[in-house]
Amino acid sequence: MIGISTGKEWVIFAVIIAIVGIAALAAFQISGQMGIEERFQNALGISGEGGEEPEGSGFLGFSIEGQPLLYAGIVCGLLILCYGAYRHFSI
Amino acid sequence: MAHIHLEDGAFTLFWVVVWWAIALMLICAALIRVRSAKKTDNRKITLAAFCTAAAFAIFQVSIPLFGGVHLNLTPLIGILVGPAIGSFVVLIINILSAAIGHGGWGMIGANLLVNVIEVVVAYTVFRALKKIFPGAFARGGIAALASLFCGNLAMIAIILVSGVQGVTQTPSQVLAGLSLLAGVNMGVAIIEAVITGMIITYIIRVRPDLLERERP
Repeated sequence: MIGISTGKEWVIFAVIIAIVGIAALAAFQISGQMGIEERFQNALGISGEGGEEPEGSGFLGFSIEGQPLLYAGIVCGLLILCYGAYRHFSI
Repeated sequence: MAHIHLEDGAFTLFWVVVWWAIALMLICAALIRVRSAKKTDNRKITLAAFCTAAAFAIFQVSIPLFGGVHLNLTPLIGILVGPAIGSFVVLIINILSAAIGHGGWGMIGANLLVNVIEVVVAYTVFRALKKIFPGAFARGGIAALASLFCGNLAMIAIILVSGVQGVTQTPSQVLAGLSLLAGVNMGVAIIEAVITGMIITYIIRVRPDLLERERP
């Protein structure tokens, strides 16, 4: 049946996941704990500013990157635009 | 989740222009492809709009794994809306991301290339594996992993070819550093693969018509 993966498919997928997971963990162990920007700067050997996320920021470790106020503004703008388009074009 | 997290000024102006020019050529090709279609499916446009909103939002959320990473849903975009419309989706996401300070404006061209490669590879692998993997979950997951792996290779190639201003390391040291970075990225790709597989399976179960070639 379409959409349902068989046992063989699951096994192959699990093996691929395991191989990728082991490689990723090894890369993480070698490179160490750091944020995305910091990891980039470390990989290239450049000293950047503000690469480290402030401790305890965000909610349960999840945080919004970039500028949260602008982010909220853009999302609100998009919502208004979509609503306007929805009403105007009677989608 | 390959994305070149470098500020403006990291690449020389020459390479910024080169990557932008190639990216614009790809966008033009996508535009021609979409315009040449007799009729664009409205459902696909709606799906593309949802993909743009969801991917833009998830792109900005730092997940507390491997020191802080983010997903980008490009494989899902490729599988759901295809490479032509998918190219527009990733263009919009990259522009909006640069607008809020997530990646430089000059990096949009290079990042667009990386993301378009992810979209195209996911689309191609998902369809190519249909006979070997009739089930959508494993096929979607493998397509996502393959696409993100290619995206990481493209990211490494672009950085190595362009060179980064102010870097004192040799190309082999940069390659080693970027390989580790790509390795960590692939850890996040596992999460993305599982999410892609789950969403594709769900869509096929409730609305198989949205994935035209998956109809029973």
